[in-house]
Amino acid sequence: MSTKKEQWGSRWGFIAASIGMAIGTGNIWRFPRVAASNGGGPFLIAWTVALLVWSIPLLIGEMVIGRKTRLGAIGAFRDFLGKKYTWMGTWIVMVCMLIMFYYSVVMGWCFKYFTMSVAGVFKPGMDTVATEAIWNTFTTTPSQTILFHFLSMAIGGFIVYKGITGGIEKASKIMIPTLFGLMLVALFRVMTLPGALLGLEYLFNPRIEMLANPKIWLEAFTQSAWSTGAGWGFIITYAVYTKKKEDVAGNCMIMGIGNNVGALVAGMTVLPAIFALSPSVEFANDALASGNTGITFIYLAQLFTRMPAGRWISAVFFLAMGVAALSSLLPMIEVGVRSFMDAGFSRKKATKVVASMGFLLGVPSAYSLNFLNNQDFVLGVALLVSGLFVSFAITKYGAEKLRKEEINTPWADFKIGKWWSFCISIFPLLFIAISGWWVWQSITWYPDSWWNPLELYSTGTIAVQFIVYIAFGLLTNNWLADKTEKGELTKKAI
Amino acid sequence: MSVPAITMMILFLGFCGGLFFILINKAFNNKA
Repeated sequence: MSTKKEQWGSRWGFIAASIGMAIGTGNIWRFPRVAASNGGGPFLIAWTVALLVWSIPLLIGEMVIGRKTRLGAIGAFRDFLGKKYTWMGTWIVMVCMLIMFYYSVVMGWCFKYFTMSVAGVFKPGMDTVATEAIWNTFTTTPSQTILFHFLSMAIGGFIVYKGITGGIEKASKIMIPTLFGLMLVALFRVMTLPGALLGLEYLFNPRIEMLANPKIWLEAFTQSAWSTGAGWGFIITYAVYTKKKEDVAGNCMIMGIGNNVGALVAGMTVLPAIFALSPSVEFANDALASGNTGITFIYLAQLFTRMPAGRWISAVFFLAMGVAALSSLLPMIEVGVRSFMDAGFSRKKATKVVASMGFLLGVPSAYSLNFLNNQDFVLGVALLVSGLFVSFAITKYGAEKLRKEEINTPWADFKIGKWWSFCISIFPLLFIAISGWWVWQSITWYPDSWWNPLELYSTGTIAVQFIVYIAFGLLTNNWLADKTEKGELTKKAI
Repeated sequence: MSVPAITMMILFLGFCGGLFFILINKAFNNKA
């Protein structure tokens, strides 16, 4: 097996790819909606605390694991914790790949809406009944959803196929400035609309007393955990290609803060657009209550038709979403590709396998919106478990030891204190609070059938799918542990 | 927009944007 690893061409390349990893559709379609629904200002405070307490410590932990082992998540967990813990790495890779299967479908939606915006499908005077009809027609036409899913997977696969420097790094260096440029164009256009400030008032109103509401904290921690990419296995994988002298804490802080900057720009675009263009406050509230797809593909698609040059702003908005989705799809593919490469596959062969799997296993999500929503819900909770595994690995290895030896290196700009080890140590408590809250919610949504695995968002569906993932991880534990090449940690031990 | 909301906006944009700028600037200047 080849042990020679590729390497990022520059620190900016790694940072661009990592910011792209963090900024995805969740920043644009989920953050503004959840922030507005949870009081605006108090949510922003809780969300910033979550970034510092949950996401950045976890990103740093992931980067340390990836750098020490120089292997994808499966091999990394084997080397970092011991052979019997390989299944935890398998869980992380599996969850990430399962998300990739439907994320490519979502990216396809964005590009379809971009083409429809350019073609002028959304005409001035259209109401939400018309845009909802367009959305329903599109999502119930498998030839269309599968075609755009295929194109998304093909684009993502092609970039990963070209390698780290020639593919992911090169694409990220173009995509990230483009993404911020597109978002700023949309932001400035929206801010010139009469009534736009009402949206900013909604987003930034302090209402400090609302911080006493635990739901705001749970929503804020969930948003930060899902949006920053912490615990997904992305940074374990991307860290494999970092140079020896790398500022671990500084890079992870850039990723986390960059994610929040992207989300704030999106929030300052989406909410003012909704409040400025809505015919009434009730309409704006209906938009905010319509879920991720409703707010984006039904309400915003309609609202853009009410403004001058709305067609082009709509195109810019959906293109930005598509670029954000692509920049997050790349690390999802790479997590799978790295694992196959650790098992002896060449990059080209591994990419062909992962991209083919991504297309084929994404077809059910392209075919059925219910299937996609079920996967999104279950895997959202599964990601919290992935984060728990990362924190477990760090704790078992010794957080303080890693902080002194791997993070606070002589060449690091940012030295971090014991707060990092403390955050990692309280992670299980935060995990219990947040995942427990989601499970409790799923019970309240189905008081009589919460145990039924066939219900879309039930506790039963989480339980059954988790059992399948764990069983797969345990059954393949030794086989995958033996199949994966030795990392730097094992070689040093020998 | 109310004064508290404007204050909150300046604080947040200042904190996130400022920190992001400082971190990026340091990263570019790091010779490691």
